[in-house]
Amino acid sequence: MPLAVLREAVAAARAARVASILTMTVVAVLCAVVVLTTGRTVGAQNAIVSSIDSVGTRSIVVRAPASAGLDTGVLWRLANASQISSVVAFGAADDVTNAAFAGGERVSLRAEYVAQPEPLLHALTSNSSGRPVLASPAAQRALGLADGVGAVSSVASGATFDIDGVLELPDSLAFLDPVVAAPASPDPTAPQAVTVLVVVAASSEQVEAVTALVVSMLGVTNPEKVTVTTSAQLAALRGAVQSQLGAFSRSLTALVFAVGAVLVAAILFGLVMLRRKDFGRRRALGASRSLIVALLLTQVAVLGSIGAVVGCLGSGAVLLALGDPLPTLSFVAAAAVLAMLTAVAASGVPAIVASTRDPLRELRVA
Amino acid sequence: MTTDEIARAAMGAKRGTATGAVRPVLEGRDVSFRYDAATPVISQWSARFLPGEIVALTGPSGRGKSTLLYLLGLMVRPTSGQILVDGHPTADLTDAERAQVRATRLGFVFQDAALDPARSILDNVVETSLYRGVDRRDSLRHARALLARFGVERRAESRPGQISGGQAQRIALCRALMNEPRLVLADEPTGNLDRASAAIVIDAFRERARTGAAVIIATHDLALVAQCDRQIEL
Repeated sequence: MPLAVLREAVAAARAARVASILTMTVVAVLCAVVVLTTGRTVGAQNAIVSSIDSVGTRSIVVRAPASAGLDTGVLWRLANASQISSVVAFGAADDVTNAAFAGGERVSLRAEYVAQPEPLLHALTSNSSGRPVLASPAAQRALGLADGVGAVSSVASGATFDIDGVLELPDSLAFLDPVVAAPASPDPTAPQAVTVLVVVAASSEQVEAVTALVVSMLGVTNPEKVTVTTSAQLAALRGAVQSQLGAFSRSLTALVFAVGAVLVAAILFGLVMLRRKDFGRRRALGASRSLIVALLLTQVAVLGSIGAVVGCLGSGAVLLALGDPLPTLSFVAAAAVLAMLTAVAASGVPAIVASTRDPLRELRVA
Repeated sequence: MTTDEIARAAMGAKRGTATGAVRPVLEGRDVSFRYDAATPVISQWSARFLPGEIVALTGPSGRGKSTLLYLLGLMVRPTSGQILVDGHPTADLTDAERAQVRATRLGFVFQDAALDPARSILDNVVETSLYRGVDRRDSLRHARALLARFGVERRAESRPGQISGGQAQRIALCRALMNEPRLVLADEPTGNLDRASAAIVIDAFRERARTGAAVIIATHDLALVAQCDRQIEL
């Protein structure tokens, strides 16, 4: 029976071509307007938020001189906190120079400790130490590593480190530059002193809570020597961007869908009034009211689906051609489904009107 | 004895059965209908329609022949009174149940054929298969057979606007006979037809009546009235 209703709805839609084309066009325009306005806004919002995030809205940086007593034990204490995305600590600076020649410029090498499987700054590689030694671009220039690789030796101990690539520092760690980061494995049983601790919260909304947690977990002997820097203001800005642009998008979407619903309802009313005799005949021949409602709603659902797909594809192509930010696929899919459902909901009243056509009035010949 | 009872007795005699053993296909008991309080259209009307009989509803225009036909076809509810189909009262039936009775037991032939101009002739004829919930392929086979029987099979893929009035009425007849109805209701079925087309229509009614169906025709056509088993004047 549902298949028969679908077949009849498609046939009825093909029979009423003008109304069908109008309905599809309204839904397509509805989708296109949503994607080109709200979708574009959402795309821009995502770009702004992503740009704010790149500055490090979620990071908390703790700086402590060696005398403050901060050590790698803090990594294990913070390792299981669900609000924390990652933690990395850096040891005290050890001056290194290019091992290829004597008397080169000195650059800080810092041991990098992580407790999470994923390091903060770079991915794991398959070298013998587990992770590569990387140098920031400024450090590479100072050391004279023109092609990004080479070796450095410690001024104090004479130990040599192979540099495998470039370390891109986020803005929150710019104060370390120039730096060579040498991954080291923290030993839970023998904590080693660290001077910098970087914690990244799982979300910008959790920065404040995570900061409080980190401060309580530092376990330092001289807390007054510790400096904690957060990006709470950036996190607030991020929240404001999301909330204000989000509210604008929601209002705009609601307005567009409301206008679309009115247009679809008007088209369907026109169709029902034009085809009064058709619905009266259907009633006379044995169509129940619920069947007529189902037929019209199915008809609009089919037309709405086609219109939604056309509208979303068309508007996506326009955004691509203009080079504007694209909304996410889930946003576009949601806009298409919502447009189709809006059209179906808007056709409810016309469908009920169609189902109550009186055969006696519609079919009698004077 | 009323006219109706005499006719019923006559129909029973035709079949060689006892009068009381024949159950009416359709019965109206004290049926009244009014569009508003000031204009009663049908007033306290009663009649029985027996299996196999063809009955003409006659009377001047405005006496409610068409309205009565729509009442008997369960398309409109009477203001008061009762309509029984195969002995079953219909007053308490829901809209869906009344629609189901129309789709499965009744066949309608409207005055102007009432075909959907946007659909093919074949689609028009099989329309009721959706309402009856029967297989469309079977319906298409049956529809083609009916179209062939009435000589319009070559018009199966045409649109109603491409055929003559006589052909349209024959197609409306095919649609009415698709569900092999127990009761056929026809409103001026020969009003716009020539003599040959009218003969085809009345022959179809007579053939349907021979299967035990009742046929009720609202008409002004005296030639058609003359071919009916009885006449009810409104």
